[in-house]
Amino acid sequence: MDAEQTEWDREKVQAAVCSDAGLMTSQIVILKTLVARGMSSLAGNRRKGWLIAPVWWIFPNGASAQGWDMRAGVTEMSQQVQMLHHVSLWICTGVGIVVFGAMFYTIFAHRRSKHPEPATFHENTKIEVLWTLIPTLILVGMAVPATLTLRDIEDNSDADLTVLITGSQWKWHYQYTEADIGFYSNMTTPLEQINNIEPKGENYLMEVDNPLVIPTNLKVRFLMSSDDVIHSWWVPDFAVKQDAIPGFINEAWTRVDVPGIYRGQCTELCGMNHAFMPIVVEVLPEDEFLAWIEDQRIANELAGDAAVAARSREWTMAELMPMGEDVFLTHCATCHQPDGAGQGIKYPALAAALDPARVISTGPIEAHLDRVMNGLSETEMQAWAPQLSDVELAAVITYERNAWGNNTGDIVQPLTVYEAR
Amino acid sequence: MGSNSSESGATFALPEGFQDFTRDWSADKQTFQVPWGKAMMWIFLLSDTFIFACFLTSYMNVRMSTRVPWPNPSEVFALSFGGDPIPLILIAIMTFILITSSGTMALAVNYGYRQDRAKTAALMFITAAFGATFVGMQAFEWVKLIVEEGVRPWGNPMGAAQFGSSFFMITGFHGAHVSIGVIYLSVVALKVLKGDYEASGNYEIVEITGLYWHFVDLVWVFIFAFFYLW
Amino acid sequence: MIAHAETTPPARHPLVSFILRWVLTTNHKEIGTLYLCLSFTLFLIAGAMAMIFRAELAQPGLQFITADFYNQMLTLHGLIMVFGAVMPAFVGLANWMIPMMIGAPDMALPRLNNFSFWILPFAFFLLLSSLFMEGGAPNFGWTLYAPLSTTYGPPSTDFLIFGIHLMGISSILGAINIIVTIFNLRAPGMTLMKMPLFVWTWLVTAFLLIMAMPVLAGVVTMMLTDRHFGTSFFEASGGGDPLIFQHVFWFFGHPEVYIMILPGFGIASQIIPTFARKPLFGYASMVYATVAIAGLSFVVWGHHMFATGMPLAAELFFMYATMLIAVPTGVKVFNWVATMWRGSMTFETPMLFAIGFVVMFTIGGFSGLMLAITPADFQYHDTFFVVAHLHYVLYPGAIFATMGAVYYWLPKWTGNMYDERLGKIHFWSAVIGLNLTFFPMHFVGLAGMPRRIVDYALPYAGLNLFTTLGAWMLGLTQLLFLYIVIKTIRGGEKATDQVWESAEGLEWTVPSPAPHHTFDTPPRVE
Repeated sequence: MDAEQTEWDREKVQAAVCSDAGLMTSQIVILKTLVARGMSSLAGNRRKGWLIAPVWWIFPNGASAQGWDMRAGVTEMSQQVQMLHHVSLWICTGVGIVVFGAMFYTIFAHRRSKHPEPATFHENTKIEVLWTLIPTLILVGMAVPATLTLRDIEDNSDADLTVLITGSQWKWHYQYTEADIGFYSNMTTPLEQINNIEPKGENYLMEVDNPLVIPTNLKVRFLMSSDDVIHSWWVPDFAVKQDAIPGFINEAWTRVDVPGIYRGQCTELCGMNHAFMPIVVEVLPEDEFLAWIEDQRIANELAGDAAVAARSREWTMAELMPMGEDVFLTHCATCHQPDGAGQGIKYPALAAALDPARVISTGPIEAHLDRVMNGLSETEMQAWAPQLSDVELAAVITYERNAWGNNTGDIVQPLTVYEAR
Repeated sequence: MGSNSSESGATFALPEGFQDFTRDWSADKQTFQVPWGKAMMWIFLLSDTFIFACFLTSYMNVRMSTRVPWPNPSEVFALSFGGDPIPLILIAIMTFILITSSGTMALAVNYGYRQDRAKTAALMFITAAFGATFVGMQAFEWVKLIVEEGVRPWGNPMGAAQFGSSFFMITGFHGAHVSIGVIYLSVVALKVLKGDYEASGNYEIVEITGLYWHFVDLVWVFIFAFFYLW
Repeated sequence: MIAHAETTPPARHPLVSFILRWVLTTNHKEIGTLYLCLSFTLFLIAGAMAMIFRAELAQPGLQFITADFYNQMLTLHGLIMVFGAVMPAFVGLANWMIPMMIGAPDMALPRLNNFSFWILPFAFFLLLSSLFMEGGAPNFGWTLYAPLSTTYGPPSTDFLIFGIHLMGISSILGAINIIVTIFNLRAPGMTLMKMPLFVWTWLVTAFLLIMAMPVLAGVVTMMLTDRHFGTSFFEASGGGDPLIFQHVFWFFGHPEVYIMILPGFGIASQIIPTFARKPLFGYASMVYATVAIAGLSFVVWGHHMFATGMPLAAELFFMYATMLIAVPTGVKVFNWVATMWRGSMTFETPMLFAIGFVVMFTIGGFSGLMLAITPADFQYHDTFFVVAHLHYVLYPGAIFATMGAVYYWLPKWTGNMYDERLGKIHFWSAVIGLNLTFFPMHFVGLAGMPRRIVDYALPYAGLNLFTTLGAWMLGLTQLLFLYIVIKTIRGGEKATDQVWESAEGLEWTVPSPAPHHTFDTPPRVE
């Protein structure tokens, strides 16, 4: 760990000196390296161990997987950020020790029983100037490395690969701009776990069906946007956090050294299920990544063929219902509830018995189809046509029209859906 | 309170240079030779400045960030008398009227301090009439935009949708200020005419009303510059 | 010029005349009391909301409330604490103390004073009634970010908007009143640089209110037109920009933070010298630091928006400006310590609260400095680390300061001493509860738990339980405060006029309890 950090520090110094950038003087580089060295030795894991040990004994299952500190992460940037965090943390701790030390000393030594005659001084220009200047200098010292790191973080140029990330309530869509591949990424934690019916899995709330896949050692640029409200895409291990704002595109980048699976969450309140839109990124070695891209392309073609096959035949109720239930539970049940009861006016009931006047699932098929496929603007009911296949749409609509005692007997065929697109 | 104003009035002088400034700040309560009515109006105007600034900066942000072309003000606000459309003619007249009203207001304040009731009240009524004319012309402009040009808060045929949003918001807010000012002026003018301030001989209220009115004019100058001339 | 509700009313039913007395009062002390009562009521309501969502967060999984109701609770908790608990409490203290401290007979504009108070109950009635509406209360966080609050907001959002308009009017009128009082009604000899620091900080706060509240009113007005009149200021599909909302909101929001802190600074600067038996160290630099903090507060709003994709230059500017705030804030902390240095200290409850304020506010200041470091902020932003920071700043800075002030001046208000033993119990249980609640939040935040989520991954479980227990303890503690205050009002050991042996200031020259009408003739300040 320490060795690694020192390693890339040296690389940075060389790179910076060689590039001879106007902003960065060599003194600053040296200062930065010194600070980095000092801090990385200070910030070794041993220290953290004893610091938190007492709390550990009280709460053995505390934030164990993540540790108690900001994580170092797996990118150069995340490690620099962690270093900045430690620098500022230790400076604050130092100042705190001095100030609180003085304060508790005076509380102890200058209490009335020990020190009955108060002094009368009430100003001292010298010391006042001093304690204005010293903090200013400390701040300048903190600002220099922060500025350098920030400049690196904001340098989005020369990316090897670009992924367009679009947030929508409450899922992420990933689009590989160079490779014509795109997919949605939904949380897979079942409602039973959330509602405490089943025991919670290891990656409770942090698991998705289709993770974002990126290669190691390449500079990946993320373009972020949103379909509805503001979301924020955060993977702590990359130190990438960027708001996804509707109508605007933000940029961020990462270059991951270590293959693995990294998890994060949406970090901007985006409505009811804000807690349920996790991010999972799978980082593959470059060759495996290329193979994965190829697989995706083939899968896309197969899916196209399958769709043609699906709409060329008649489906039965028995085929559609179980599939429809799956789709419903994955995509619809968080709002409309597994039993179709809905939640108030915002998320209407789908079971006809509960709200016969307004329920859409026993009304005309065309209206139902339109609502599911095109959504209702300015509400959380989104357009599902781009997100689900013909068969899935047919299945879920058939399911809604026949489950929970709706029993309309209607079967919606994939062909109908295809024609309605 | 209020008894000390006459004696300290004699010694009151405008601060000159840094020395006087510090002397002012280290004085006791007579630091700011401002009666509280006037202080209150000044502070209120400060807060009003911020609300107009918030609308105007939002408008400028919208106008700079939109990709759709902004409607050309000199065409949208043009008015034709029989022949060719004259750009901005109506706005020019409105601006002229409002600035003139500032002049009459200043005269009213002047006569107020001379305790000339009739002239003060008359000038204030004239100011209010100018204000009412301004609001009337603004109503005419709104009607023209809405009915003839089809401008709505949510869109318009000429270009960027926020043109309507910003326009109705800002001019509406300013128009409301002018309308309130007209009422305020009329009330104070009536009270002046009735002689309500004779007993105290204190016509400061006229000046306070004037402060408000000049502020509304000043805001209009900014709206004129940023909305119509840009 | 100064009206009082003292004229003998015609014979009425006692209840009617009791109500009318309080509704029609123009006396600064009575209005101050009204403000404080309203503030404490709302403090308990918003605190109860926190208890509800902390209960939900005790364990992973959904146990008690739905995700939507959770969002409603956290929104109302934030809004009511900011606008209902902290701000009215400070205005109440200002009403009580400023005229007494500067030797004025009353506030300059007593009827306006009455009006600005009585707007508030209606504003909060509007806000709270939204809980009972179809679609529920506002559920988008107290920051009201568009488009979640505009396009996607529940119908009750309009009640919130009107509520905010009313609160804004009340705050602006109250602030105007305070400024005018301070500028015009000081006793002879009470020069600006002789004013007690509480008055100074309130003067600066009042100017912040005057400049910040209209901006909030403006931005919620744009929200309103976006929702109902088809405008698209914040609607990207209509060509608008959701970020305008954030910029304008935080242009209000950051000064607002200092509105909630500066009077607390003033209170600490009153209490510490009294119990250190030594004059305040560096009075002038305290004043300058207050003004500097207020000035800087208008140019740092961007640090709330580092993750929104600002250009590098803007990020750097906001980072530097934000870090700069640490300098005047540090000066204040050093001055307080220097005031205590070689004093002769005793530790009555107000002093305990003041010291608690200084220590824990400083911890909050440290995490604030860390948050200012933009690259690190990408990791802290919108996590529980921010929640910990803001509560470490606001709970000691606003709530502890207010409670310290109440203990400090309660004998002057009621004529009775509070129960010192209960006061100390209250302080220590509040301090322990506060640290149990908010300190673990630093760790869950650093470990990666986003804020405002109703359910969380398993690794955060232990610490959240810890936080919940602390929160419940902290909440229950405040009921003890209510008991102590009521007990003091009803009786107790009589307080002397001086109350605290080395307290200085005009408020200690009048009898305890302070007469209805404090200064008939202005005192002379040497």
